[in-house]
Amino acid sequence: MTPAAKVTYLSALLIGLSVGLLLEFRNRSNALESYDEGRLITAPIGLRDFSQLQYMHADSENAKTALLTYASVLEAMEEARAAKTEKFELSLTYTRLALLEDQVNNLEQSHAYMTKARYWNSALGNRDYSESELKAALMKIDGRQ
Amino acid sequence: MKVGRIGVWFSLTLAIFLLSGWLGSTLGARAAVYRYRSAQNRRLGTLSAPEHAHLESVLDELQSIGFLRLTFLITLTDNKPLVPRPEQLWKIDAFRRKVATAEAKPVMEMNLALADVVAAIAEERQGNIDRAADDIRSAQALYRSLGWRDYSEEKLKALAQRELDKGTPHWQRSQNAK
Repeated sequence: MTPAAKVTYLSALLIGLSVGLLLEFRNRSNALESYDEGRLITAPIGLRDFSQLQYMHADSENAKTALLTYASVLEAMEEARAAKTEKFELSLTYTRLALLEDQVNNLEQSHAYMTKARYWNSALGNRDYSESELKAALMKIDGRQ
Repeated sequence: MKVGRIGVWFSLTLAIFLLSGWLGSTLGARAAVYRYRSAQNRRLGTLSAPEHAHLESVLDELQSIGFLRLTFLITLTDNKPLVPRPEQLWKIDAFRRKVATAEAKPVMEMNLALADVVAAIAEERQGNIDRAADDIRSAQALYRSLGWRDYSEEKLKALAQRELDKGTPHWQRSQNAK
């Protein structure tokens, strides 16, 4: 094998490797990023719809379970990344849980949920709304659905 | 003779280039997945690794359920009259058995119940009253297990219709109503 052939083969090897590596790395990274971003937005929607339907139509025990599951998934997502959507949804979910406790006159637990609702609402950068203000706002939102 | 040698030399160079390009792209894909996973681990926050893995499974299953629901509603609203194909219902039922996380299971059950009610509406329109009644009974059993206070046929049909309307463009809704 002549030196010229060796150089040509080596160059073909290096160029091929780098072109393949860079192009595929870029393509795959973009695809994974889009998938991840899309999933973080769309995946909780199913759970949100489910918990809202349970809140509206199921008995209080099942409604509470669905809302608490939704809240725990949102809180875990909140730990993993900081986004405003989760904070807003968490505030709504804890207010719904408080309203369920109000129905069975469990005022202490209701207050505990409202403390969380107010915490997540303030974390959004909003002013600190009172418990009754948050409950009234949620009832307006749910009334529209 | 010289032309033949150049041909071999060129073919060999091209083969090396293509092979190394394929090898490079395989390495590139692995490197991208590795980088993606490392980025995921970096943003664990205060979650432990098992908690994070569980969250990932929940999100994956919820994403698949959402996709299944969307394709079901889209294929339905694309057809007139609205008739779910049996294989669509089997697919949903088969996926329901695969769902492993406690968070996604009830979501899947509610979606299966919705599909049953939609199937009942379609069967009824085609005059298959017995099959429609079977579908409604399956849906009612699922809604009952989810703790619904009112799972009457009328209520479930109204809810299913609302879900169908959500996935149907306004112009198509007025056409379907005709």
